[in-house]
Amino acid sequence: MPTETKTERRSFLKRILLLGGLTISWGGIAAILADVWLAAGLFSSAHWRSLVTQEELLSEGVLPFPEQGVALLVQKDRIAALSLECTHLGCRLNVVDEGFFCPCHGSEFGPRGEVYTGPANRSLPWHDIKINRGKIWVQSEAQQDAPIWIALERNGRGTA
Amino acid sequence: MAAGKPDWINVFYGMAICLLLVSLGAAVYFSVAHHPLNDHSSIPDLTINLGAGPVREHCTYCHPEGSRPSPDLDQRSLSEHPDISPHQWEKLGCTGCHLGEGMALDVEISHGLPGLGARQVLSGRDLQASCFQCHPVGPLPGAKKAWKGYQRFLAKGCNTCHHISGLGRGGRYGPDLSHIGSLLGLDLLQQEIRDPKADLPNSIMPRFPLSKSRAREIAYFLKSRVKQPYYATPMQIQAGQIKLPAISLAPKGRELAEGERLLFERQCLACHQFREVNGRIAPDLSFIGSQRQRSYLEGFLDNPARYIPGAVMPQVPMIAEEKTTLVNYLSTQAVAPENLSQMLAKKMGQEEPAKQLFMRLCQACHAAEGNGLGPIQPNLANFPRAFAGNADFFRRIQPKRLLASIEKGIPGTSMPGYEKILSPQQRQQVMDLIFAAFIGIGQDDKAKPEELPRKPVQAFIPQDIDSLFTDLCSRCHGDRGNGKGTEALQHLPRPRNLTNHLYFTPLPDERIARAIYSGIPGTAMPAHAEQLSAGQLWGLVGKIRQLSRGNDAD
Amino acid sequence: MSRTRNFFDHLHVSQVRSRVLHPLTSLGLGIASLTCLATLFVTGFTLFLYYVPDQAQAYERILHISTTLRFGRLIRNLHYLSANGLLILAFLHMSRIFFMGSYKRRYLNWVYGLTLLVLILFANFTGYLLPWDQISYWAIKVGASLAGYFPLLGETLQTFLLGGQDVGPETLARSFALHAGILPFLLLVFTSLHLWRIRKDGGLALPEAADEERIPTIPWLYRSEAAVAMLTLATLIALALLIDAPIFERADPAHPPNPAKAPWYFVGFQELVSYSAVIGGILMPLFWAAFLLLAPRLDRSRSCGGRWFAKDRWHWNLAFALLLISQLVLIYIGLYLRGPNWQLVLPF
Repeated sequence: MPTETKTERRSFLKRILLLGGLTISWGGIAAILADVWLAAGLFSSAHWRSLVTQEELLSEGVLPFPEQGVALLVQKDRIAALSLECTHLGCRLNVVDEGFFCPCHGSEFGPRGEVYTGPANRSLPWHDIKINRGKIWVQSEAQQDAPIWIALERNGRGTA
Repeated sequence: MAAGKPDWINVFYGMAICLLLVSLGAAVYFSVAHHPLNDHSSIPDLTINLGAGPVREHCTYCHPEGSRPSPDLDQRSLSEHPDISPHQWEKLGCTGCHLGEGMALDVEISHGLPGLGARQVLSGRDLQASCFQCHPVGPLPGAKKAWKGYQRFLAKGCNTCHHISGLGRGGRYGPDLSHIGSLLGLDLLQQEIRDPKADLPNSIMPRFPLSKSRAREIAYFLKSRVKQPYYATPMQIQAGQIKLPAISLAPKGRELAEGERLLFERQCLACHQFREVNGRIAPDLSFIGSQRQRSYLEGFLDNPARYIPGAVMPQVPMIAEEKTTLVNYLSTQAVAPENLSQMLAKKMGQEEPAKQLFMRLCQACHAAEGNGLGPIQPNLANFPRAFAGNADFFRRIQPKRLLASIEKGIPGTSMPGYEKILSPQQRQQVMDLIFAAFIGIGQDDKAKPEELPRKPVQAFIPQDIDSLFTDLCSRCHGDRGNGKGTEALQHLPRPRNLTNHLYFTPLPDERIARAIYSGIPGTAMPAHAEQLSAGQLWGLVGKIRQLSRGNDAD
Repeated sequence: MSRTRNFFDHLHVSQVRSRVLHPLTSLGLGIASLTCLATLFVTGFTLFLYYVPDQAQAYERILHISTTLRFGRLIRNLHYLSANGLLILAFLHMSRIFFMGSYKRRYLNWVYGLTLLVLILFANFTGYLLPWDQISYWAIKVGASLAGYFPLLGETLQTFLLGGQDVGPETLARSFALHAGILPFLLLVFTSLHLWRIRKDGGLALPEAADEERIPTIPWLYRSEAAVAMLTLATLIALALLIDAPIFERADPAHPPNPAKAPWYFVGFQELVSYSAVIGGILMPLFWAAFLLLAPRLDRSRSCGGRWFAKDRWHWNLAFALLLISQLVLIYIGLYLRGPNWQLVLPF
């Protein structure tokens, strides 16, 4: 009987190898196809865009750029970029005294983008920001939870 | 082994699976290992619309913010995009100015595949080739050379042959250049301007004396002539509202007669020589008033090819008054001065007078070496007779005919008559010089011509002669006798255009027969004495007469 | 071993003679062609997701597919290689059938096969244009002008393929509609008919032999078929890593490359046309069609089908071999020995 068990075991092993090989190869092909079929969304239309020169900035307050969907939060010595797209359905937000207001469905956001009233249920995301050659640049692809503050160098008045 | 069990199939099967696994593994490895998407979760995708439809670009993947790429893509690059204010690159995108293929994420393809180079990436100084895609052509900071290129384009008279949209007048002689920037790359443009015959051996475009950098300037201007320009709306283009600026070509700071001004403004001097100004493409017009009749000049301006069949000079559009002024000026002012020899002597110093005359009057076509390859020879419809090394030809020609050629010129060709310019003594001097310096035989050293067969009395059968012409002549002279046979380009001097009625009409039958019978020394025309019977020979003469009369019949 | 019967069982007899499985009997060419076809369908669908048949976008889309997508280049190369592979394999398969005389008493399936060959040629030709680059543009132009030599039918076909007299935006839309629409459907239909006919005709054609050993289809025939299929796939993938599908500059209707050549499988006819338009454009295609259609009808030899190079069929085999070799030589000359202005250029 031991020989029979041995052949049985060997044939079992062979079968496992065979099935494994088949599974891996066809799985691999399926994975390649899936990757290509799903790759259409891997592009972003976001890139660094210059919004305004440093000199043109307000001394303090919110500076909206509805065209780019970004608002600059300017403080005395620092600056950050907040998305101006409603997290509900993507309408452009209006800047109001208390923060931001969505004209489409009435969502309200606080001065730091936190949700006050629905239907939106997420806070506004923050964007990457930098200063280059005296211009403020924003990259709206990066959606951060926390604000990215960068220091402002103001000629004469105010220092970082 | 049990019967009916072909076990080799199992081995085969296992092997196939293994090979599939291996090749799949390799495919996955090579596709994934160096792919851009590995390091970045996404690829920047700019879509920019400058007016000719949206354009998608992935350039900023390697060139973040338009910088030169650093080896490590994550690192901020040090060489940033130069300041191009008032432009903003993020609003213009990359390929609008730099060209290239924005959709490709591959170093080679995205910078333009080789070939015609229409999408070859422009950078550095070459970038000014793009400025006039958006800006109206004119002086523009940063596009100095492109603007200069446009000025050269006009100064060289390019638009007399080539149509280009925006210049109302203009020829239909060469290819339309209105969209040439969308079709060819800068390098190719420059090369084609400098050496038009390199690509197309049968191109009739003259080789303009332009340095590389000057040709490059014209190429900068031409590269901006694109299919869907940004400087105007399609409607404006359609309505013909877009004009290229007119530029005065006459030299400033010198008072010019109206006729002379026209020589400049109508771009005659882009090619022709007039006194000190020399375009180095076409014959001298300084003494044309003493060489050609007034009626000849008028007719020639209307249709150059009627007077010199095969001439590459285009019809220059001109209003009637301008033409009259120009012809008036040429026929009264462009005449040889009485003291031509003294004038030349002043300029050329102690050279003997005949040599001075040859250099001033003959050299441009017949060359200083006397071999017919003068500077403007490639642009002439007929090859100037070679003197040097052509003794056999001149042994056959009687002195009377040679002197007549100088005196009256040769009709249907660019050879003008010098009757009014040179005195009989001077003509003889020039002739002596040509024989002494180039031909190298005595003027009375003549060969006795072979006897021509008598012209038979009976008529020839036209069909036979036609097929004989096709067999013997058409390879060089062309089926229709226009000198453009399949082998024509292999020969210089080119085969004679047999439809040139001005040339053939004054020719006696014997001369045509002689040329066929004994050939023409110094050219590719062989002797056919052995091949032809008397009937065939004279039949061919008749055929040539018929071909050269064809133009009149039209 | 009990097993539920599946769809494939309908295409196979339950037991096959051992000679069927012998590698030299079929050379696996049919299954290899079938694998290429399947690969074409899968990769074709993938390309379909990203391609736009529009003059302004087609070229950029191809660049996008082959450079930006992670496996895009692999997929495009696979599509290109299996398209050409299918053409070659299908032709070899046909040659195999011819040299074995397997068309005997199977004329219908022979005709199905010929139809498939024509469909494959059409599919390949219409797909050639889609990248809209210099070489494809001019190849289609030359290829379509070859069709134009054929009297009456040729110009109609040309107008149908080009959507006019010249290659233009209409041609692109048409090529795409044919290539990704009706031709795959027809290929599917005729392939099914082709396979079904094999089953109806009783499997592969083989000479009668009374007491030959029989082998169960399950698992042996299945295994060998799967092995050939996977081997073909492995070869295609390996080749796709080595050979890139060609891409040249954007199509430029004003500047033909010199020489402009038809797609390689029509270069033989182009070469013939350069000698004589009548021979290359009319007589030769007609002769091919007539030969392939009529040979099984005119072949009166006694030997039954399914034997390689049967002695009493030698003149048929010789004729076919000569035809094949002449075509290959013409393609070789046209493809590799022709320089600018169709001048002969020797490679050494």
